[in-house]
Amino acid sequence: MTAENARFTFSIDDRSLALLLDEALYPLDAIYGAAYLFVDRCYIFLDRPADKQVQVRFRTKSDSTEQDLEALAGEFANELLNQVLRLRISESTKSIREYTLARAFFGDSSQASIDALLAELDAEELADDPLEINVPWESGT
Amino acid sequence: MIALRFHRSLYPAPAVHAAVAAYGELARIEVEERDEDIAVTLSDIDPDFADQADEFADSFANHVLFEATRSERGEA
Amino acid sequence: MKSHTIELPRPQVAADQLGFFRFGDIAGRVLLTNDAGEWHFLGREDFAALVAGTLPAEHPERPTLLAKGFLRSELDLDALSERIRRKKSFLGNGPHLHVVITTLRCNQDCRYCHASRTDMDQVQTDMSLETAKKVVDLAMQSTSNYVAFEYQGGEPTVNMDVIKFCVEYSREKNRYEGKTLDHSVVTNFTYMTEEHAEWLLANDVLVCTSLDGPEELHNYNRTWRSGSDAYGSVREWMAYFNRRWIELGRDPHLWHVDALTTLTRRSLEQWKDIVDLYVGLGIRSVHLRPLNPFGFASKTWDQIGYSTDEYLAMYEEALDYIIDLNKAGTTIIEGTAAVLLKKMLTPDDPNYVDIRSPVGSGTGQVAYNYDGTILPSDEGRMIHAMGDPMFVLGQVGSTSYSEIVGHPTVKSMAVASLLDSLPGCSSCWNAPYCGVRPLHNYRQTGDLFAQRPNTPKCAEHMTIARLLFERLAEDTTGEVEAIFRRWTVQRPRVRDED
Repeated sequence: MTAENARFTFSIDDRSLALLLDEALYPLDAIYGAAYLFVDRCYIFLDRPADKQVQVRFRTKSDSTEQDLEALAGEFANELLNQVLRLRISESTKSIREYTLARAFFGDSSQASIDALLAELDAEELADDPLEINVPWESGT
Repeated sequence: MIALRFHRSLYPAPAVHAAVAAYGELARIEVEERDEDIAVTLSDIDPDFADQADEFADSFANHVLFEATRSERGEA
Repeated sequence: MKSHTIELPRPQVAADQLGFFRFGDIAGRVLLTNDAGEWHFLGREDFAALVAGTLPAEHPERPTLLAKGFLRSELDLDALSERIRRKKSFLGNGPHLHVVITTLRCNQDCRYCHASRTDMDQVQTDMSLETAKKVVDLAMQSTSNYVAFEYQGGEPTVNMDVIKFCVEYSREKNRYEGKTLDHSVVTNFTYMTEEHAEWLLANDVLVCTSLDGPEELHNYNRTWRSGSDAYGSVREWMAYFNRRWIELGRDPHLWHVDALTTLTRRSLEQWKDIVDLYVGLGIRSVHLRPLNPFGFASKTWDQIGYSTDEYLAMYEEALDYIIDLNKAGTTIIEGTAAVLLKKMLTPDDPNYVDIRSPVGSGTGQVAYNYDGTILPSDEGRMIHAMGDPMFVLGQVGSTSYSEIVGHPTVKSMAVASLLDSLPGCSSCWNAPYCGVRPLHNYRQTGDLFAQRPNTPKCAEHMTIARLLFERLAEDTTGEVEAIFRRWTVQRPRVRDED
């Protein structure tokens, strides 16, 4: 079911936890999404130690043991993988959602798409019309 | 006085400014926009929070993260 | 500093085979939800296979996943759009709930009510008939075909003339408007007279009262200035109304006094007594809502307030007790669960103004203060009463209907509560069932957009939805789902009065 495992290296110190993430594997959007869900329990700080590298530092709001911090690291790593999955699904279904939501709220979205396409074609025709033959005379002055 | 540094590629400037606006009444906040990062200095923290200055600064950073997330993640 | 490494399986993703869905771990399984409010549980291995595009063609869950729109192949986009349209049909309605504050005067001095009342000699806080006429004129302009006037206070029956006027004048106007009208009065019964009662009965006005629990608890929470027995008064008048409706030939299932409980710290210890009292009185709905952080000082909160965790621990016990009562044949509904279950188990949305996206403030409900000040909700009025004019939308007589629903403050609240655009919410499995309360955020953090994971409402809505889904996931016989479905059919008439 899985092609490979995701490895997360983290360091623990007092009430703090730090993870180093590769932005090529974990888009910034996913890092934000995962980190934000922990603001109720932790103070979070992002830093960039090198190009395409993001360090996420957590400091827990209440006292925590080493086991607590290890569990927190696991929870964050799991959430980060979920966020990457959410992002992939979200990107892949963008046009589906645009269609269904447009049709749900604004009626016939196929008509809306046709209207948008016609407007786009009109704009292109105008752009290819150096003599401005298509410009209505009222606005041509 | 506490100094924080927000990397520009991770924290958009408007996010930092929004947090400054939210916390502005509770501390003296100086902002210096540099090439790579935005440096924020917190001082004269409200007496109600002065004995928890670290938590105050961390809360400020969480607020910047919140604003950054809000501006970067517009939709599902 | 110690360094560690953990390894987790990285999911394979065949995103081009999937419909849009959100997901989360519940009851040891993965719950999938989508924009139409559809949901489905999968085991972890099946979920991994679904995401990887390796779910076998003959897999027993596949037809259901297809029908609900979680798979891309054969996805009927138009049918899905239609389901979303139906689910969100409230967006096209306009405000249906119109809260009219007939007076701030009240003869009770409840522990949780401070900013929304004055003493009985403060007659200048009575709404005038002239203002009442302007309120009705404005409310009847709503684009909603259903308009519910809800009379609140203070104690609204202290200004009975305004209630009578609004009922009669709105009905007169409705001869030309053709809307469905409801009128309800939220009364503590301490100012009720037989004359007023008979008028309310004769004019089909729904009656809702505050009943905080057994006598000692009710009288502790709700101090009656005269020193009389507030609990006894409530019981006496509930019995009067319920008897008279039967005498008038009304169906007691539809015509009875509804009751609302306000939960203080002391109530949390007596939740079972409260539920038992409601069952004993034949009340079919108990709404176990947490105390609102409005209208009183922090010193008072220390006495009567409690943490979200304490509330939710009570709620879970009470929910299971209420489910058990239903299993034993007693019909009693928990209000918040009923709202969420309607979203989960039916193609519709209950249009409960406090738990929807966007929130109903200004677009689902409007509140009119005694002096004609227009506010997006009664909570907005509380904040106004505390000296903050942030949520004032205008004044009856000079502000138009379109100015109210298009007010920048109303738009801001809509944006601040649109779950599809909020970080943390937009990807949350509970997004189809949840709701943000920007006024709560403002009261607690000074910001309409609060950091959602830090807000009590996030924990409250997510925990209650999780409890309901857990019980559905563990319901091997279908008994609990049958009970939950009954709760969605017998929709409580209770409306949010806070």
